[in-house]
Amino acid sequence: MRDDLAALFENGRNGDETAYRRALDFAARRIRVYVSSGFRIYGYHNEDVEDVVQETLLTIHLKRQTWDASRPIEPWLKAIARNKLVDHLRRKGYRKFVPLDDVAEILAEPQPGPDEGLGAQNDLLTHLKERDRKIVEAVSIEGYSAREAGERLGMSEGAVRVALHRALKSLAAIYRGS
Amino acid sequence: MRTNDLIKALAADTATRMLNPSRALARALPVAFILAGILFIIFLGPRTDIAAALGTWRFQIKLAFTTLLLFSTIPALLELTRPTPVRWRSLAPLLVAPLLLLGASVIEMKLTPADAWMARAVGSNSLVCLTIVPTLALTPLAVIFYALRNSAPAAPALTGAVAGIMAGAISATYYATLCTDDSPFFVGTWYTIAIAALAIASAFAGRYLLRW
Repeated sequence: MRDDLAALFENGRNGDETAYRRALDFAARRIRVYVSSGFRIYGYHNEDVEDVVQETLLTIHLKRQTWDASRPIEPWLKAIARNKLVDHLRRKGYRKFVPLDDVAEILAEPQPGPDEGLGAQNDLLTHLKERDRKIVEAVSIEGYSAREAGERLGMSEGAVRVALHRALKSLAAIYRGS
Repeated sequence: MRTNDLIKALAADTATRMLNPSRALARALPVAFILAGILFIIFLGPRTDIAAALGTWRFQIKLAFTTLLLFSTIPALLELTRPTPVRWRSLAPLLVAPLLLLGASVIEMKLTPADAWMARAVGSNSLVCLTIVPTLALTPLAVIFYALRNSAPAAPALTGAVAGIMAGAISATYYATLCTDDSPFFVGTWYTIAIAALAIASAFAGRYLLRW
């Protein structure tokens, strides 16, 4: 499965959408386990786990080229998840210092996470500009391809892709600022 | 938004290609070097006796120092673009140029009487060096920071510092052809101070600009 994830992710970032979706799906499960154990260590409730999972996925996507395919993918995923978890806790004003290596150790324990797709607490989409939000919703919740979304919104496929990319970047920025 | 939906949105965005950090840097470095070169030629230019200077060992060591320093920052900066813990070994090449200068300083000590050391170290261009090296480095520094925008450095401040050394080494390479102080003592003192100051300023910039 480990090799699967690396291969799927590599194909995915080279443009294979189906592989990419599966890779992110795998990755989301790992990250969810990792993040919820992190929350537990810090004595937090699990309510924000999905927020951190989503922020991590978004970062993984925007920084996907920083993974060197000749190295294992797992440490890379964890490094990003850890960074986002720490950021999140810092934003929430949590300052107790816990050695982060402990977070990694607890990872080994199996534990239930929230059901996939329970949804995040704060819907950050509402912070996006109207048109950007419509584009993101069209290709996600409504499940259209970029071309179909373009037809619905009266834009070219290329314009949808450019706007989508920009919208995802601003989502990441909104996360950092929230 | 549900996580599954987010994943769909992300997958729809894979068609938008992003440069990987090594390629971004490979494109940025020549641009940074050439831009600094153009600014140098327009505003400063090399010393008039450059042809004669090229034949002297002190001048050669000076250029070798700045050039080696520049090249040694490449593997270091590439390693630092990643979110995974820094492999310190990849920063080891950064020691090569300072060691060369140290070796050259020992030779200089043997060649010159002790009462002349101070004069050689102080030289006659120290303020010029401290002004030109950081100033000329600003343009390449901006180019390098821009190239790092898609990276995810585990240590943003350290990454900024190495970017500063890289830009400083580019700038110092040009400045070395202008400066008439060739002693390793001078280079070891003033070039080091100029590049170190740049590294510190860039570390602060990196903390803000390279966070992700």
